[in-house]
Amino acid sequence: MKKSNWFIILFFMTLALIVATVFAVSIGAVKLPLFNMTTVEKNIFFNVRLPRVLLAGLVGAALVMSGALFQYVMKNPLADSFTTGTSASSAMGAVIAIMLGLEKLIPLFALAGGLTGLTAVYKISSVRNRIQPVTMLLAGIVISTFASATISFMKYLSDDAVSSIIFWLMGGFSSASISKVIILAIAIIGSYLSIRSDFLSLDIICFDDMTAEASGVNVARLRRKIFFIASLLTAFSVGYAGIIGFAGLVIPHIIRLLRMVKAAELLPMSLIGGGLFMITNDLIARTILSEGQELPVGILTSFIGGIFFLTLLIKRKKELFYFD
Amino acid sequence: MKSNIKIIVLAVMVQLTIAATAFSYDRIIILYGAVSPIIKELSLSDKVVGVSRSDTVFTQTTKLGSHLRPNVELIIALEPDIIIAGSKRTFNEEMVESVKVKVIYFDPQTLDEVLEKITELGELFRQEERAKELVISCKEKLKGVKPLSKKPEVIYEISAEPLRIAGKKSIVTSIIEAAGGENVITIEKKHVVLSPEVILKAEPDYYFYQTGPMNKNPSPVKERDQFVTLKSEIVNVDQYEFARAGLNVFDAVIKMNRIFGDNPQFRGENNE
Amino acid sequence: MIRLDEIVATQGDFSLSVKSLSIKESGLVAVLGNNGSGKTTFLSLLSGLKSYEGSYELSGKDFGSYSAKSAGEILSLLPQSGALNMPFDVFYVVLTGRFIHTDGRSYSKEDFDETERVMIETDIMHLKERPFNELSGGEKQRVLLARTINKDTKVLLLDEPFSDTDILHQHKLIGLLKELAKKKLIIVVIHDLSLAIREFERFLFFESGTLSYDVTPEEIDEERLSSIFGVRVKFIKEASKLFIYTEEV
Repeated sequence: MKKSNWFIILFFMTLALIVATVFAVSIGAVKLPLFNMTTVEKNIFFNVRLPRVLLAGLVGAALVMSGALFQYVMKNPLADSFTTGTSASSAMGAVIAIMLGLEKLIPLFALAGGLTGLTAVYKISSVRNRIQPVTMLLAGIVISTFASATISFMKYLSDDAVSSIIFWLMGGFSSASISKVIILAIAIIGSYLSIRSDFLSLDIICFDDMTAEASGVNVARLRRKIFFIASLLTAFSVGYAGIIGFAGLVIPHIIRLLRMVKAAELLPMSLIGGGLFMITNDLIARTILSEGQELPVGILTSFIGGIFFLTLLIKRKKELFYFD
Repeated sequence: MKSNIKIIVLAVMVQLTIAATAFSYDRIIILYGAVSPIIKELSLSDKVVGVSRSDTVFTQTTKLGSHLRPNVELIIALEPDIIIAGSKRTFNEEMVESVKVKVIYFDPQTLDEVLEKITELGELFRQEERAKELVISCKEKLKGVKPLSKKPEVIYEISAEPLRIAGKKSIVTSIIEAAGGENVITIEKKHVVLSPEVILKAEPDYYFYQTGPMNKNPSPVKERDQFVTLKSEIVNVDQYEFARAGLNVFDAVIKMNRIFGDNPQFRGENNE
Repeated sequence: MIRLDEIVATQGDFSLSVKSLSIKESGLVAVLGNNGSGKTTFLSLLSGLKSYEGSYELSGKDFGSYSAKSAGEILSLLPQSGALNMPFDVFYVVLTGRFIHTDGRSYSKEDFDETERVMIETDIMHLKERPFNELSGGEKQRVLLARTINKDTKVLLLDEPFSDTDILHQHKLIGLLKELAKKKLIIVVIHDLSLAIREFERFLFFESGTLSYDVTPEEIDEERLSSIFGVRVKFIKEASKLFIYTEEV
């Protein structure tokens, strides 16, 4: 894609993101006037609505960027935090932290869990340094199922009654706060800055490992780094919003269909596209029911993602396998 | 006590011979813990052969798994002649089919329904007198409710994450009303997944949050970022005392009414 | 340029050994032999992707003293089964060959100009904007060869670069390689014996993991080839052109 075209698309996507954010903060369970707010209305705006919209946007950005990164290292367009089992194993880590009464360490446990699950999937699905896409999906399903089973088991142990652990499996932004927003923003900006210098290398690891290595890229080192960053982003999103499926799969694919394939185009666009996608989804999730009732946002993204995935399987088989 | 039971059994048997329709239930299984105190009050303790894992009354009786997932094999093995379950959700048609005995559900949504259920149980187990006494004592308890100067508006939190609030169909609403207050949430559901915005906007006088299996370690409401500015009185209560539809609800009414009455804002004129 | 002495590289059951070999700064060298004779392993070894015992000197210095980057500035490798799993456009694919010359962050104007030049030389300029994954096998092969040439190193190691390429482009590319070989050392694994003997300056024959026959076109011997390949090889000379006839023994 021409640089000038890319800037035009970037400009309009950013504009769309801003519009969506403004829209999302002005609509909600309670009607708020944009000007002359009372104290209560200000509290609602600053303590509930704004953090929530921002958290949704950041989690979307983190999930989509991690999805795009997973697709690089797994050499597979179907890889994302969900299909690689990283989300579920992160959630397992988070739940273990809760069980141990270490709520403050949730992101750390989530990261450890995510890395463990991801390593397992990678080891299982790589044959002679090549990831087999179908094996990866199967391994991802197995790891996800295993992690979910562990979560359910812990839920059972802790108490039969429906407890808040379910929250991790459904996903949502109801517990948003400014501190979470700030931490996640730091994690995303830090991750982005640390891989910005690897954009050219990321494109080169899309070749077979031998070609990539011969081109002057330290494939093993880069892969480890990307694994870590993608897991970190997943761990924070899961720690703050539970498992939200498919965003990391759908958005990078759409961006690539728009012919933004290079890492330098794809990754910045993933951040913006992910934010836009999740803010919109969350807006729908919290306004579709009456009287301030809410729908878990994971239901919505999985619904949209499921339809997308299905269309992909039916209509674009070829594209799934150009990754060989 | 034993002889008492014998007399009752005898009486039931006599009745059986007189009225062929009447049947004596001798082996009771209780799968919903809130029923146990009532069964005890109806002097039927000796007939209880199995209970759910978390039962607080019949702690020595055979456990049959959790109230959400009771073990049907264990149930059948105990050869009960009646099973009292919480709701169809926890004990479904297929399970009823497989146990092949009478199953009744105990799922009252208001105080009146609790009393009705007590009467029903009394009739079912031929303990009408005890049931009547029990109903009277419950109603007697409610007389302790003191009038308030105005109705406090109340939010009752079922769980913090996700934020679920008691809706109109919850027994909690009935408790709040009997205690002289009003549930802000009028949605026709037991539990409502709700936006915190609604709560901030409503500015309720009281924010009750429960601790129990449904809400394991809720962080104090005012420590949550969303609610730091909430002006409501915050009260932490036990889930078993307030959100379970059993004999406990009448004590809960009194407790809540006392909390309201202690607040000068709502104290009735005739109270000191 | 390259000097090997008592080299042994093992991989599982297979081991490659080169007793002694020295190759000068420029020229077109063919690597030949049957499947599994060690040709690919030989290229991997030279490019530093395979560990070895013995002595390997590159440009007069021990290969072990090179960093991955500095070795990469001297050597380019075109692996046999190159694959790409993103739908990059062809121009970008060739451009990425210049990665070693960048600061790792962006390609310079020179990189773009060089890429364009190489693409014209390799006759793939018309594919410039096509997504790589939509090309035919032969086109992909040419693009990847162009990418390797674009790395612009002193030594090119090419593993079967023409196996899927049509005859017309084989001729064009051989012409280009010959031109480049005036200043560079180009080592090519190739199966087409006639093409090799007609166009290359030196031949390295491998037999079950050993470099067994190292000759120039003038010295090459029919009998020896027949024993290496296990088929009867006959040279037919007609009007100063050499034809090679093979038949099963």
